[in-house]
Amino acid sequence: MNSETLLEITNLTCSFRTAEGVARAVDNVSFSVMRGETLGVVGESGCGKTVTALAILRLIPSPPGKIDAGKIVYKGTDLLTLRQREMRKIRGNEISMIFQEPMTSLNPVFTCGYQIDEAVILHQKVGKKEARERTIEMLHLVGNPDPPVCANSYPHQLSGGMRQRVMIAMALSCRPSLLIADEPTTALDVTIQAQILELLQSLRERFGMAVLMITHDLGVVAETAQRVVVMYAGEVVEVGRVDDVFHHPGHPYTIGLQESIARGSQKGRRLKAIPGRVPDPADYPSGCRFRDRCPLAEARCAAEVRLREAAPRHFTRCWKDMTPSKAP
Amino acid sequence: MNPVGRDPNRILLEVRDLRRFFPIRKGFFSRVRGYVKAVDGVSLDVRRGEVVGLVGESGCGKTTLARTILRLIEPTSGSVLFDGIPVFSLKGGELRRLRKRFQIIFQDPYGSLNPRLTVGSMIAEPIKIHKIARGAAVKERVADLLQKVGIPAEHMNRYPHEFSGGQRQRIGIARSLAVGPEFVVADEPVSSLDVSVQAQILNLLRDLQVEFGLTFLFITHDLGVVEYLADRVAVMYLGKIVEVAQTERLFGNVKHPYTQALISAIPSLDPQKKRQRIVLPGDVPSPAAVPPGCPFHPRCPKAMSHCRTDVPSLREDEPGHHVSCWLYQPRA
Repeated sequence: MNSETLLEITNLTCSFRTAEGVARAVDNVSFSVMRGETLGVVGESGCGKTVTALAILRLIPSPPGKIDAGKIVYKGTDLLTLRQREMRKIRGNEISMIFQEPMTSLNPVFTCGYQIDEAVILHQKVGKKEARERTIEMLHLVGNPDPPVCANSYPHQLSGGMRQRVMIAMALSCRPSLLIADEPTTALDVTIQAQILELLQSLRERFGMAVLMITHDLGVVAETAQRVVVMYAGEVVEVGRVDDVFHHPGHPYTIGLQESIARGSQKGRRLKAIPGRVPDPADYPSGCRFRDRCPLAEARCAAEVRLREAAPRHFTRCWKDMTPSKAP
Repeated sequence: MNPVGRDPNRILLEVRDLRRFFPIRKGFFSRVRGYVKAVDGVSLDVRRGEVVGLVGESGCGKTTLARTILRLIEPTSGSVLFDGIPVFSLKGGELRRLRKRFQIIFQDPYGSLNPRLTVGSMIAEPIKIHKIARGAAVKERVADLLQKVGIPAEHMNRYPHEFSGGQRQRIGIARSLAVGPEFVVADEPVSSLDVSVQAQILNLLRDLQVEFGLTFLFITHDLGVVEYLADRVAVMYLGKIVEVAQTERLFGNVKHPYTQALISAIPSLDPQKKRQRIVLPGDVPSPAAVPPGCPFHPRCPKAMSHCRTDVPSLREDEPGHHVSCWLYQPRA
């Protein structure tokens, strides 16, 4: 771990007990987040991206979930060995998180201001008055046109975009070093999505924090992230710089994802959809988990496939060589 | 059902000055205190065999417009001609007969299927109601429809919860097509699905459109999907259509500032091409309190003084390209 590494996840494995058996939602996942960077984590629903994020904050509901193995080292300490009390000092203070649905993640019976104050008072050891000043300042920073009014409003009185801004203000009120953004714009309209992405970008630069951007939208990653982790069926299948992954995708799943996006340049042609569906997490196939849907699958894919460095700082979990050049 | 025998330029659907206001009731006697103008004076033509994309943000009235056209919601005023038949003046049996000709595919594949019915009986229901087939022929037709949408026919005795989201959407599509409609409204049919499944469903809709010669009104907030699928695009903002044109024309020569912002907000898949995004300030105003003048003026980067007071009309600026903006029309 060098000094530029903020968070390093090694061989993280999480499982959930379900009626169908034990589902390995996250299986041997390793990646790191550098200081100040935006790392995109993409994948479809059920690929384990949200569970990974919750594991970092130790928020996996247990039971039925469990962190089985692995290390999550943040600034030199393994978060998985901390006591709950110590973990609470990190949560919301050093590492904070914003969620997809701002309505359900804000408490409807408290004002927005109160909820932001709470975080500040808890972590910064300041009085109510000082906390409120900080709250107003944060609301101003996230682009609220009238912070004092917003602070006294209840979540239902605000629009979806404004609620997400309140969430961001709350998450950033203690100046975290790492912000985990779980599908922060998915529930928002296109024009509001643009506003929120712009805001996150400018706040990241201003505070020098790192952002873990979890999304299913390759466009959001292309736009905001410097590096990207592609997840499929609980595993990391590709990691690399955004330019490399988008222009020379190394894993057939990444290629499939790119090609299945409908856009004007494909007009009149059939979309190259990925056939079939994501395997059941309680019953993954042996070897490469994508092989049932992969157009390039061959016999050796049934054996275990490891993540390998196929090009400098570009890793893929596939035997095939990277495509030499590919325009997205 | 033979698309070859149809005149491609014939207008199938004619919407004229359609309005649908929802009253806001408040207070002791539930008096009407105002209206939510969900659809406010929309006119739109849809030609036979055409795919018209209807785009706009949530709350702009696109779903209300579609449901009013199909008379699932009664209109406040205006008219709709479907193949020359005035939809709003029909009653009882006549209306039911017309319903066979237009159908809707809903957004939520979880909420729109009855959990207590098997997939087979759900698709058989409209076939029986409209007396399209009887006895054993019903089952045959159901099997055929399931096959067409890519669900093995032997699954017809299963219940919706046994299927994935993408498969449920396929079942919803099969049910809509069961009565052999000519016109189908697809209300955000892929929005709740994963990207790879979205592509499968879009391919399916395209295949079915060609096979059955369907006419589509495709409602979505995803401009990428619209550009890919639609022949023509109508952009809605706060209950009004602000721009309509052929897809290539619209994307090649965007006129309305709102459409410009929408298109600039499509995320590019090329990380090196950092786009010039137009970020609109503010939120979409509530349709219960539509700003005076041009409804877009509070967020418009090009607003002029008279935009605040005078309402622009939807005018043909170039052949086939209509826009509702003062930048493109002289002031009266």
